[in-house]
Amino acid sequence: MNLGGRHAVSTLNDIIEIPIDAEGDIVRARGTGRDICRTLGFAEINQVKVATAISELARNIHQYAGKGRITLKVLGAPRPGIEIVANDEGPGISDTKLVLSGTYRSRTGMGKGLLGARRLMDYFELVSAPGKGTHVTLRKFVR
Amino acid sequence: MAAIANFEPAATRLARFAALRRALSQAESVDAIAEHTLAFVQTALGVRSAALYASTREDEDFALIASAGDADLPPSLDRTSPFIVELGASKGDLSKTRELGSMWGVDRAIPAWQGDNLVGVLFVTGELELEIVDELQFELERALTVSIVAMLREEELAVLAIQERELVGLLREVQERDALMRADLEKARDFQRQMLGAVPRVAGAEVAVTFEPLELVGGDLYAVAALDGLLRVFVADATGHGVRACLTTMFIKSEYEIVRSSAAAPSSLLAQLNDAIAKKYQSAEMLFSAVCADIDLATGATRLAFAGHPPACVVRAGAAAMIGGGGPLMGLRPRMRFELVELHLDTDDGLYLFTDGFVEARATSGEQFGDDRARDAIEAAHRAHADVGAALKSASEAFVGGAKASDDATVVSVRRVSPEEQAPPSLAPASAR
Repeated sequence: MNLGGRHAVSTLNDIIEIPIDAEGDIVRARGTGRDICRTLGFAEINQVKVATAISELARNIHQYAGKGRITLKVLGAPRPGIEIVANDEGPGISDTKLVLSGTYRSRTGMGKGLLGARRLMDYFELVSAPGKGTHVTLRKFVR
Repeated sequence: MAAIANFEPAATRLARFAALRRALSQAESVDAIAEHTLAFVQTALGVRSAALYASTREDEDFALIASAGDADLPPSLDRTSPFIVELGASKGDLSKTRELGSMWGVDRAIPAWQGDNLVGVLFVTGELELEIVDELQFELERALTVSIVAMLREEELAVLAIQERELVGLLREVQERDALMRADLEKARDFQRQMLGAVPRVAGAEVAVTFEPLELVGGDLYAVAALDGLLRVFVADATGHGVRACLTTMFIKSEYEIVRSSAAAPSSLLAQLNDAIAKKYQSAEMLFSAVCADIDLATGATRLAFAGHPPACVVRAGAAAMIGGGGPLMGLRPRMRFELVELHLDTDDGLYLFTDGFVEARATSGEQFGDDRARDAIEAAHRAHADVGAALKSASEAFVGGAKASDDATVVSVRRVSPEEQAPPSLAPASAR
């Protein structure tokens, strides 16, 4: 798989890790994810959904944790697709259930990105606690 | 009688604890539903212990939301576990609630459905009649459905908000790129204008140019130069318009400058120019029409040659006529011959060379402005000593009405004057806009 040297930061067995340190990294993560989806044969609308979800997670890292990383992984048989893992060691979320229920209202829009990302993807898992950082796993399958 | 006796206590109890039921039916979040469900079953129905599991998404396991009493239950129930699978197959069969409850050592496992999807399970330990189980299931399903719908709506709203932000970002990007391209094109326009140059002041003739590219840059080209009493005018129109056509004009101009002073007559100039371009650029990219005119400013002897170009308009003694036009297109193949058209211009006569922009402009009806209307507009403006290019432009625009211009347009106007009557040279540039 050739994703072009511009995006690939470190690749090992179709796993790409992109550090999120600056705003420009959000665009880079997004572009890399979209490239992978294109290579995997995702429909165009789903390429956009994955790219959007990635940029939401990357934006959350940048905005709330300052830095972290996005790991993109190609899923093979039995169900080909892409897995996106966002990790940061930021302040974390005290009530993940509340944030994901949609009833939580914040001035910063915190939680909106997570809710939206969940809607856009096939699989969503959020692990977070105060002082423990935030860890999100998303999956989208080719079909 | 027995049935009524059984029913009455249940109905009385449900009525008595209407407030608890109402609180359950008004709960918005899954946590609140759990809290009110437990309060309801414990207070109103007197069950000893209860626990609520819920899964508001099809890809999630059933999580223990709340429990009361001494039941020893796991934090979550796997979607693929035999218990959930069997519960999922029990829809419409409340009698199975006992059998399923016994798998966990409780009295009943009451399923809650949203349509055909299992969304919750309530475990209760304590005696409950089937009617009450039915009521409870109804309330629980309604509350969970409301909460699921609310959550989905929040998710949709979040996606919309994200998409809106993305669109705004994309729009800004497009606008920035657009501004950059426009700035580039403006530079190209200035460069093209500079290349075309100002119209020279010559003794014996008044020369003016109207240059109207459709976009910032265009595929029209003109050149006016006087050498030893001979005024040589060249007008060309590269196929297409915009940047590509504009680039073509650069090549035409540089080739024209090479043959300009060596060719003896307009026909030989076109032949030499055609040979140079057709040999050098063999693709069909460099196709253009052209007209060249030589005017002897002392005698008025005028010679023209056309290459796939519209006719020129000559105004003699106040009467306009279209002359010439046609001939082979430039750049197609070398060694083409071009006919020479000869005429005489008296003082105060005019010669007007133009590209097809104004003449071939079409109204929305499809009708073309055409040679006859162009000739009349030129004649009227010439007789009125008005700016002929501007007059042709406004007549053409008035004719097409609201229709958008579809091609570049250029007019070079030459009016023979006696040198004595000629206005002193002014510093005003040619009317090329």
